[in-house]
Amino acid sequence: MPKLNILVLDDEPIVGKRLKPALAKSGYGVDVVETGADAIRLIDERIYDIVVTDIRMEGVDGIAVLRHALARSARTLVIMITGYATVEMAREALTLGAFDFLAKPFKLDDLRAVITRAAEKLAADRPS
Amino acid sequence: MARIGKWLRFERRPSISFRLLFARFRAILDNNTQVLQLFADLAEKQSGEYVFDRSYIQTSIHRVFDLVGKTVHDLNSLTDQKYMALYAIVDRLRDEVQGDVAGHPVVSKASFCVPFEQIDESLVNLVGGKSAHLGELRSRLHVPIPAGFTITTWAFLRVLEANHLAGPIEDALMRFDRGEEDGLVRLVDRLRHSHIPRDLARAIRHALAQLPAGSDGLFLAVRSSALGEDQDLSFAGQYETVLQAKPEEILDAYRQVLASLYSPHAVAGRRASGLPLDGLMAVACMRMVRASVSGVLYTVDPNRPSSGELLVGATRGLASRAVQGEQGMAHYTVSRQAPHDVLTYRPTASEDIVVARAAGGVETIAVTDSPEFGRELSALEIRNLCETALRIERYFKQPQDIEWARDDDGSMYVIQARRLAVSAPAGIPQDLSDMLRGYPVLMRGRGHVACRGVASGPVVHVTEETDLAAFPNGGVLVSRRASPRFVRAMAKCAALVTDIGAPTGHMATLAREFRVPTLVDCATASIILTDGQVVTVDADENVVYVGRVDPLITYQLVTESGLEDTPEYRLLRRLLRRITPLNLIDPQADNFRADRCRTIHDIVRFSHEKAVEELIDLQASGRVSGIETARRLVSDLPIGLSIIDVGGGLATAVGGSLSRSTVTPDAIRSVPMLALWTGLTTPGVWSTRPVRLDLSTFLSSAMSRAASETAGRNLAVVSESYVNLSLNLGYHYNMIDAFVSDNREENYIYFRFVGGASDAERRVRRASMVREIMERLGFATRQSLDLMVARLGKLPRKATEERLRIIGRLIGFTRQLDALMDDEDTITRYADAFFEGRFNPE
Repeated sequence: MPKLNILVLDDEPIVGKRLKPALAKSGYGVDVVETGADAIRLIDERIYDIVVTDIRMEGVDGIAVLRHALARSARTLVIMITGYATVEMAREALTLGAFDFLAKPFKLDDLRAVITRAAEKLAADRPS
Repeated sequence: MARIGKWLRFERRPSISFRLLFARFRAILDNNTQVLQLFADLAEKQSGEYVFDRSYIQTSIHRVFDLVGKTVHDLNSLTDQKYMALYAIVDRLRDEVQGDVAGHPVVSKASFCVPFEQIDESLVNLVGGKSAHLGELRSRLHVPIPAGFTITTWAFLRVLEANHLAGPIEDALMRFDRGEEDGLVRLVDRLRHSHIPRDLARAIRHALAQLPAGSDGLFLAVRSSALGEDQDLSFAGQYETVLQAKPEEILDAYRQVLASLYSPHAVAGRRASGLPLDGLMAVACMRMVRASVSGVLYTVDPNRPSSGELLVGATRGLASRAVQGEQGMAHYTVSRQAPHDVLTYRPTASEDIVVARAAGGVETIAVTDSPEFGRELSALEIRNLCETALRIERYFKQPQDIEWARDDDGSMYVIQARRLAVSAPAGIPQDLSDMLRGYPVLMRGRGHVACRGVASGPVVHVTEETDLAAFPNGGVLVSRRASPRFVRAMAKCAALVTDIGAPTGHMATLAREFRVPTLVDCATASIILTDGQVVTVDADENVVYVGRVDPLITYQLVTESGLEDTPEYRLLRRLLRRITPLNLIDPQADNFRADRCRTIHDIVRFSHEKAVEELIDLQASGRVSGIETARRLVSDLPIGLSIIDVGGGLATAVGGSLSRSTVTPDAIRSVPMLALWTGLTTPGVWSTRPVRLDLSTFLSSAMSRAASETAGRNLAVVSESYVNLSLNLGYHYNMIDAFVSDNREENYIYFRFVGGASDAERRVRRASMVREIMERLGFATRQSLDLMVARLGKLPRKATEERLRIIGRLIGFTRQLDALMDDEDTITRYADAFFEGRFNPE
């Protein structure tokens, strides 16, 4: 199976710092960015299997990134990271087609579990 | 508070005023519990297993202050504003903490000088990054560093104030923003000639006098320790250092180092690193090692990180010029594997060395190195140096660049340690996960990560009784149960793995302090991992491999992001140290006063104690009219209990068993109180055995006996179906809140147990035993260190009463048991004894 590519977007550097080595060690290709604008640039350059994005950010927010990623490739699965006060936005994201969401703070294992489910869905959807 | 409403509906309505006061009382207890749970949640986030961010810290801290603010308000309404001092303490703590969270460190009024041996990471805002780092090396890792002290940022502010420099600094920085450097140049000059206020000069002289002078007198290395300096490698060498300064020259050296804070290139460096331009400078003054040999050590070869080699550079005399690359050094390559054999040696071609002058200062002299000098370091010295260096690397989880020096009496010192920048990760596998599939796995996803990291070493099985002084350097400690006693091996062990234990437990907390990769609750690790077997513990992924997985170890070292040293982790640690320590322990002690509260933990503990006291004294105060009477319960039990009846909880007729101020047990009508009382007075549950005293518990046990015999002040608020009992016995607190009626839907028991007078290990053990007992009784429990909360609801009346009787017995049983809980096995053993009715277990 080809290596899955994941884009991680969070405006707090510590999130990417924690996720990048952990996901890379689990065998995923990982790019990390800290602004929505950078995320959109990378999404335009290549198709990601999975996008993990914070929902609330200055400038281009997670909802905009979600829309952009899905418009670019309907197969991309987008996982939203939410904070305390963003449950409403998470609901909106799900109706817009987000795959799932996780509330910060979360355990790495929780994210791994969601990504594993996403990977299974990608494999099942893949035309044989 | 919904439950209060419940019993109020069912019972005779008590007076409004009491109801309100009691609601405040309960709110204080509730908030207290919530604060302690937030402490535990925050502490757990340090394991590395969680992804959190600054806003999580902000939100949690906000919640802590919200709760403690309410507590102080409730306590003051309850006590007619007796403890107003607490408002100011909360405000001050909030200012400090929120300033820190928002990135504006608040320098509190503090000492001008702090000796190295009193420095740890929590003082970073006061002593700067470099000093805090040195303090941590010494206190956590027992790395030998030369004696010294740090002149604090508070002293720096004093210099600015005394010389009226705040305005000129602002002005110079504004001009610098416009591209003009002349303001800074003038500022540097003014600082170099600044006046050192007399109080500060006196503090520095005093600190100097504490330093040991060698036979040739005392000389000092005076170095910058600015805030933020350690976070960015590009800062190395930005600020001035003065070597071999005589004590009488220290003020000049101090001025010179201070002034370098505002050199144009230093300010430009701060701007490039995103640090505040104005800066805060502490200055470290360290005894000069009379170096016969000195040098540097890299824990990996930066160009060949997977070679498994350490690099050691050495020169006779001082390494100051060699470190800056202006002079050659002899080079050793050494194996990273113990016993650290020297693989290659290349002598230096340099013909001059730097030496300290007896008259002060340093000079360069010519030597002709010849074979009769021999090598600079012996094999044993190299081995010891490498062991120390790898211990530092294990702790910081990143390759290290270490400056060291050997004194002329032969002792080796570390002068400085910082992260080593490792260039292109050549030889690092691109796809580690594929490669790792080839390594046999012993355990995967079996327990919980208590502290992340990767390490390899031979398994060393230990028990409570193992002598940990002999624990081998670099061993993987494996044990059936987690124990805080293992702290004695933590500076030496590579990783910790236990069958039983929790990420919020005491050992886990300590492991995080020492940054030892730790897995707990792995069920059968002590069977799977055999003694002496070499394993690799990956506590980032929760996997244990057979043997040494070199690619993983190298990968980890080179790609390590230094999570523990990110601003968020540092912030979290600083905040926890500021708000969670408990200083006010003994309610009978003189310092148990509002103005002595130093942390949030102090405030909630103090408020709890005073709230109980206040309810007992309400009637006597005459402040509230129509209040239910607090009556002292007259019995043989030494628990100093008063009872307030809010409706049907006591016999109504004043007479034989009930007076205006006292009551005897036969007047109790409250169903849950009666059940508890029956349990409490079960023959034999109040241990009469003399408490064994050993050195570690001598003081605390003696104090706890004194406290229980002077009968603390305890309170039960009762109605026919309800009890709220607060019982403080020898520094541990039992709180029971229960409702019992014929309607099982209404019934519940809430039991909280916290504290103790013995050491932390034993307190946590006792709380664990209480938890085990409550779980066997079907309670849902939660434990954070020595706080245990158990809940149970919706049981029929008889079953609820029976459990209250058991809790009553348990309260008597546990009273002084912690002093006896010497090892982890006592947890289950004493729980068994309790259920078997053996209330005086051996």
